[in-house]
Amino acid sequence: MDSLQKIGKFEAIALIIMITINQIIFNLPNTIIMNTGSSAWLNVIVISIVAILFCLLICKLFKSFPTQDIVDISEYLGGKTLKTIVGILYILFFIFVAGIFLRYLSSSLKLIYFEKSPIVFLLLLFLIPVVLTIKLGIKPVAQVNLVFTPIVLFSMLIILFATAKDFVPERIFPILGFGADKTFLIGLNNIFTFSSFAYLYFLIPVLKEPKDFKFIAVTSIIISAIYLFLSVVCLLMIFPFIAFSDEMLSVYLLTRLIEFGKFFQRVDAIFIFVWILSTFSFLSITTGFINRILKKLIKIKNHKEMSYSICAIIFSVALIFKNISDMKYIQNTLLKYIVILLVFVISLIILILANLKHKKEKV
Amino acid sequence: MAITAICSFAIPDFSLGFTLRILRFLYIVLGYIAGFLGIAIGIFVQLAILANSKSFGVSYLAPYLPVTNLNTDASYFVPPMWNREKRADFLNTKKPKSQEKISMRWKFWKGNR
Repeated sequence: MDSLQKIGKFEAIALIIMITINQIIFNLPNTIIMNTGSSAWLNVIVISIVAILFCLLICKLFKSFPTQDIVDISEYLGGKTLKTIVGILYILFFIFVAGIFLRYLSSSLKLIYFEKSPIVFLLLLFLIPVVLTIKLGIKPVAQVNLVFTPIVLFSMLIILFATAKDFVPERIFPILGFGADKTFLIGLNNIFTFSSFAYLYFLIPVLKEPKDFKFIAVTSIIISAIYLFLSVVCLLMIFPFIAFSDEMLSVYLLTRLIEFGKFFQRVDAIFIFVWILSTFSFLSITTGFINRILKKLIKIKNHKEMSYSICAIIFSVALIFKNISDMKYIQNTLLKYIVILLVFVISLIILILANLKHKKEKV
Repeated sequence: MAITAICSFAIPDFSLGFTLRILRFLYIVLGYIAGFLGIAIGIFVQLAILANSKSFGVSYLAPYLPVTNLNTDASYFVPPMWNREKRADFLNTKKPKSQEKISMRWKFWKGNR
């Protein structure tokens, strides 16, 4: 039955885009603006170009292993030891990302709409549908995600263009923000915003046509970069970057500025509804990938039942954080360096070494 | 309630409306528990179950899910008649191509062809 769990081209593109869109909602543009100031838009262009080049590089490196993911390649390179290490690292990474994102969104929703509800209640409400859908497999989750992705993308465009009347173009000055070094050199560490590469590393075995991997990877990274750029520019031009750097959901603040006459009030509720659907997709996709990695590491018969344990662990991780400032600190420091180290350094080294080994064996 | 009642008239067959009658109560309960978060849970889980279902070997949500080809006569945006070159994938036809790329040859003929 698992051999039928393959997804198509458009589903894969939607899957990767949804990861970045959720990160945009998760206050990622805010982090970039805090680090680079008014030159955040320049920094986003630079990191987008670097991300696209990195994407082309990993597509070339994956060509030697047409049906394998990063865990299989680690096994080829370093045997079961390296496979277990890389698998566990990625499982911990996905659990950590899902936990922090879940807690962040639940805390924000608690502030906005559910003041009297306990946070545990909200966390459970997010995790219960994830458990139910992951038992069906990753294919229906990817298909449902394909339905929601255009709606989420369209809603983001509405937010960005409906608030255009409040743009103050002078807010993008000074052009170099906190300085050229922060924009072009130190600012390169903002590449952590493209943590969707972690999901790309596990995508190939799930694709119906693995030869479409390059098209999927490049298209999704380009669309993600465009949306990241638009959201950063929008936030820069509407809010003075010094004053709003401590806001929780800065994209939500944009929705509060949207007005369509006096008949439509609180339009932000529609966007929150759409974002909740995208959160379910994000959590289901992440849990699905954790399930797949676990299936490779632990050869158990009925791996779909592991979704209960995985969601329980994500729930526990989400409860670790005491308050919002803890989460923001971890997001801006720990998560950034974990993504850069694991996704951009370690995985790239594994791919390069595996390719060199493959070439040696060919000769 | 009123909106769902009126929308139920869009269901073509009477027996297909039975599931809606039952699901309506589930959505009321979900909405009571968690507001729009509960409704979103219901929509997400129901869509996932429908996407996983098959009817006589064909995906329940065909031709909308899974998306295989956007250029057929069964998709979100139906092309004009002269541009419907491929038959819908879920039919698993012997000849997937229904017409040539240039179907209106007479439009491009010059002279006495």
